Amino acid sequence: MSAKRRAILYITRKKGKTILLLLCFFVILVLISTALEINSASEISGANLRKAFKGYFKVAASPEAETEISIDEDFVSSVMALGGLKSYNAQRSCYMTVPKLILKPGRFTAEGSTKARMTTLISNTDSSRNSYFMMDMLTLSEGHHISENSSEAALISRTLADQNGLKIGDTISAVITEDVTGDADIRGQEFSFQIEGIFEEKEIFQTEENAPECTLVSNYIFIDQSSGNKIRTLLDGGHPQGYEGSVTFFVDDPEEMNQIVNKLKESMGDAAGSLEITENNSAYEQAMIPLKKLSSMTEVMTVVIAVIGCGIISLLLLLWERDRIHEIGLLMSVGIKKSGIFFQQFMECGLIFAAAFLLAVIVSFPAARQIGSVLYHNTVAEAKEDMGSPDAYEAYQNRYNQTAALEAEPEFEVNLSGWALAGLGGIGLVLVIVSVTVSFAAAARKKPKELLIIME
Amino acid sequence: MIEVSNLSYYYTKERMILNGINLVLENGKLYVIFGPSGCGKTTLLSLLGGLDEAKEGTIVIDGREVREIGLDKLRKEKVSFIFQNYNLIDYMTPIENVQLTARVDPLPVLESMGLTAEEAKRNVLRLSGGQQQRVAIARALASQNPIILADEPTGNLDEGTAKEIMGILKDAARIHNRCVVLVSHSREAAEIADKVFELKGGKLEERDPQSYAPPSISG
Repeated sequence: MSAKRRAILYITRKKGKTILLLLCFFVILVLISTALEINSASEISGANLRKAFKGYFKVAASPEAETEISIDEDFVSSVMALGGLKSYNAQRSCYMTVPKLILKPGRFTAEGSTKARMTTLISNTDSSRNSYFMMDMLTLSEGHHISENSSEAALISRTLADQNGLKIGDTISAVITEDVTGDADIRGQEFSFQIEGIFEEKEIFQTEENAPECTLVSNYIFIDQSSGNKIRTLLDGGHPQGYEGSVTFFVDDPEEMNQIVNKLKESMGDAAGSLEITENNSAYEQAMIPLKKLSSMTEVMTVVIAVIGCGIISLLLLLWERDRIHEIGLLMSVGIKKSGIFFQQFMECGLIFAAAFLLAVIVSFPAARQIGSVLYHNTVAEAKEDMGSPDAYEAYQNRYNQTAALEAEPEFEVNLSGWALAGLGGIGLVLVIVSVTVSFAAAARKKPKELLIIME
Repeated sequence: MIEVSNLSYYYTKERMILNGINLVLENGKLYVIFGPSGCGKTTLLSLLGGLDEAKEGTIVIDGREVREIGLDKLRKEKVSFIFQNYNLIDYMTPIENVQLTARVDPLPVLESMGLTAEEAKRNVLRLSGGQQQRVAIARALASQNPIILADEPTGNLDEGTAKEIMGILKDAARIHNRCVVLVSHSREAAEIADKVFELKGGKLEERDPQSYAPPSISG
């Protein structure tokens, strides 16, 4: 008679023990399955968050550095070559005269100076990543942002558009005048831009009295990088300085932020000390807190339940094994090897586990959805309560450095994943092997004669 | 045929359980071993049946030493046990118990032991002691192993049933040509034995079966 047949006879004839073991397996598997499914949902939500959030770091030349580093196009190319970076935004600004535009009046208008027609042109690789837009101080209400491929493009304010009757597609021009530079050779050079977007200002900007027109945000004109480079080259006498301020690099995956920054520092070698690198992952990290808490909780839960489950099943089988000494001795006396008997008991446990697995998968999915939702919202609420602390509040403030669309909580939906099923099956198999081995070990060490003595 | 040469077993040399036993056992005969409790009868049976290994000496079965055969294979192909407590698997029917070792259809063997087809499909715990012992014997016979070792097979049975069981074991030897070795306290066993041995002080000596047989009642 095969071990499989003996196993089937045992589990079908010893109904009480079979049902008890089935229940134990079922409860353990439901709990582990729930934890795995919630963990899987956390992973997926985290992955979605990583795609949505714009983690970035800013690189600027350190003012205290002994060796000066130029944050220029070559530097930017070398950083982008490190990998893991989605895009960057480099900025240059200059004063230019816009003779045909009526600017929002400031000090020079009151003085009647020609500087009343001078404003600030800010060039960006990607205007949407300019900090004014990133911080929601300005929002684009019409048209589209300037990108890396834009040429002779401009964004103007709603104020300028209304005052000058301008709309998307119109052309404006800026001129190098004596107010802009003392170099007579380049004066008179004119640059044209097509309006591609109009932005609105939030009311947070407070105008100081007697502020020059070129410092009023309403008068700012955002232009494309290529035009900005041309203007800057002229103004710098043919040798453009590096990007002013900092260059902002945006990472593909906020989780890799530290890794990339470390790579940058390593690539710079000793010159790394001449850089100021500011990482800003706070919004992503803030939003990830509940997910990471949930993931950690479920991982611990899985391990604890698996270990306790293993202990319970092993103890149960060990107790029952004492009643099976008779049977083991008898099977050995008719020539069945210990390995055959072990395999029979493994099959018994394995068949019961398989039945419990199927039931657990069916039951755990709706349970996981309920439990996962409750756990997730509890951890989000805890994270928001923590934001009452000064450090958390600062991090919350820093969220305004990121796109406002990230106000909403990330989606959290439990789904039955293949990995969760495979994980459950794997954990269960280990549980069965360990439990059966532990319970069989005592009998396995004895000789058939010793078992027969116990039998009698 | 079983040939035992200089067989010894001990836990310590100062306490010899079996001391240089020599024995030849043939197919077609029934041997009974008597001895006081604790003298080593079950130990001897265990060594013959491969449930334990001797400290010294050899056991040769059909020309091959048991170590060469391998103990698992010995128990599977050469030797069958019958125990005092029947030792049936309690969650199996008689048919299934016999199927553990059977090389032939189990039902006819069970029927030859006096069980009906219906009884053969019941759980063994619902059978009487005598019926259970018949199932154990059927299991031994169905395996077609040449050697049957029986350790106090009638110890838990009433006198009438015990006699029947002894008769079955005798038939196993004479009719089925098995080598049957019986350990017993029962004097009735001496009546059916071809040879009787006494185990005492670790030594095995042949005895006159008549000296063990129950006294006849003269009228």
